[in-house]
Amino acid sequence: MKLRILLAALPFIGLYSGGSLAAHTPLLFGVPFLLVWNLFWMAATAAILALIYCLDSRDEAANSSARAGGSQ
Amino acid sequence: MNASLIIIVLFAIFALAVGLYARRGKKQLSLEQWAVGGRGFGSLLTFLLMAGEAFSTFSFLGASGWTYSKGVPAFYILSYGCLAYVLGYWMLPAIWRYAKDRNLVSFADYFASKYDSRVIGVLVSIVAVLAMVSLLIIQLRGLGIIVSEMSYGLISQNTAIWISAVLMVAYMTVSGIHGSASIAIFKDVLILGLAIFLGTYLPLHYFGGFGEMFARIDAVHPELLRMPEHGFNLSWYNSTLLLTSLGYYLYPHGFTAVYVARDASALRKNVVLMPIYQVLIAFLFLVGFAAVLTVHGLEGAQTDLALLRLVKQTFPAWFVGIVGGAGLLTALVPGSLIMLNASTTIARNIYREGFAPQATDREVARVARIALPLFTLVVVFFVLRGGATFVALAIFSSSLLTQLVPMLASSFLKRPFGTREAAFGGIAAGGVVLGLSSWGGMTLATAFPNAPLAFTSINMGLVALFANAVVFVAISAAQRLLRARIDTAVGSA
Repeated sequence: MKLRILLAALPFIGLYSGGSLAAHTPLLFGVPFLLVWNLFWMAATAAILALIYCLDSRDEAANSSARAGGSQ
Repeated sequence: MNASLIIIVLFAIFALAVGLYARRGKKQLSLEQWAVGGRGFGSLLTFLLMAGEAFSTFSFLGASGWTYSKGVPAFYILSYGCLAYVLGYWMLPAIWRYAKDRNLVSFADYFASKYDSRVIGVLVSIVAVLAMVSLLIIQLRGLGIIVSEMSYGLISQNTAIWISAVLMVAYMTVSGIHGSASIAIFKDVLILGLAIFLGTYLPLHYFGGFGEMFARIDAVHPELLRMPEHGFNLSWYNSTLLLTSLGYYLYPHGFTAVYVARDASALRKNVVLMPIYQVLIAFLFLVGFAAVLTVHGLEGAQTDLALLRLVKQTFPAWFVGIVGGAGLLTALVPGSLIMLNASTTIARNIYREGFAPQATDREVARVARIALPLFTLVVVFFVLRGGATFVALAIFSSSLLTQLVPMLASSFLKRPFGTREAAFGGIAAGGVVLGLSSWGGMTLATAFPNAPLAFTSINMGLVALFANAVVFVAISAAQRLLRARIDTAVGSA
């Protein structure tokens, strides 16, 4: 559970630091820094949620097979 | 008659046909079938419905319009959703499970049931219905603008609003939520394709590349590519991000879209996919930037027209018609969901809980079907006629919705901490702050004249939410303490 909370905290840290970072570097490769940053974190958020989803379904599968095994 | 008008009309007919056809195979729709699709929607349909509800005319016109007029601060629109989905990963399955166990249908049902209070149910319903008036006004106004712009003025705004309101009432009365969901399938795909196309083609066509476009903007309007010092500055950006991500699911039609899912896993898959779908907003930002140097003379509220004007001056009439038709669908999906939720709330929470506790489910379903066209008629009246006081009240109610955050947060705890009285007190405190800022002219700068700019630029909605949370926690804690003291006094006597 702890790992999942740490993972979930990452998008918050990433997206909240974007504004302050953008104050120092407005442009990156000729494109607004904040746009690149937010897009990166958008993809990262999807990846992190997908990872948490995998962890959860693995645990649920383990739980249900453990329960099925116990009842036999 | 021109090509764009014909295409927009075809889109409208298509939407009506799809909406009505959605009813097929279902003889009689119970309230649960009608309002939440019998809780049988799989991952894909749940996703399409929630995406369809989230990407409304605000995303279509606002994302590009804000970029056109304000530049970088608009990027918050891309981020707040992502944070909301992270919270939603745990929140939505919890809401869904609770709603399924207790057969909840409306937004207010959740709060009434969690806090075990009819009064809370009726109060939340009234605020929710008023808020939905303002939300539907926004959708209908946006729809009127899109259709009249893209038909080159051949269809007036008022005609567009009337026709689409009639369409929505027709297919929602017949098919209920199945109508919205079927249209959402086409709308979500179409809008994604259009956003990607416009966001890539327009910068390439006008500037030869993304880098070139930003270099030109940097030379002429460097302020658009930098976070401003005043107004929409960094602390406004961060506070708005927090406020909007916390309040993301507290729109009645978004909240009840959770109920339609077949299982909790459909909702989890949904929030995994939603951030990727957000990419369409990034493409709309690019459209807004492309309009900065190519569309001239839009000021104030007109800046929302940036995307439409740029499309009109770039493409032939038939393509303008497709964008107009896509805009029409973009308003129809959330618009019809709002109507559905308003009528279910009126029937279940205001009519039954407030006036007729012994009403049967069939009566409630009948009232809901009568309430739907009446509610729509009232909203159309306010869109066309104004009615400034009532509209201001409706807008105020929609900002009050976010004030339900402390109540919602406390409802997820294993041993809920918040009490009914605390909920009232907290929302009242938040409401007072919001009221003072919208009618009393109060800002953080007037209340704290010596505070630094970083503090005074914080979004007032977040200030109200903070006041609300403090009062909510204080009253709950006080009641808890008192009760404990009474218990020990009784115990020792």
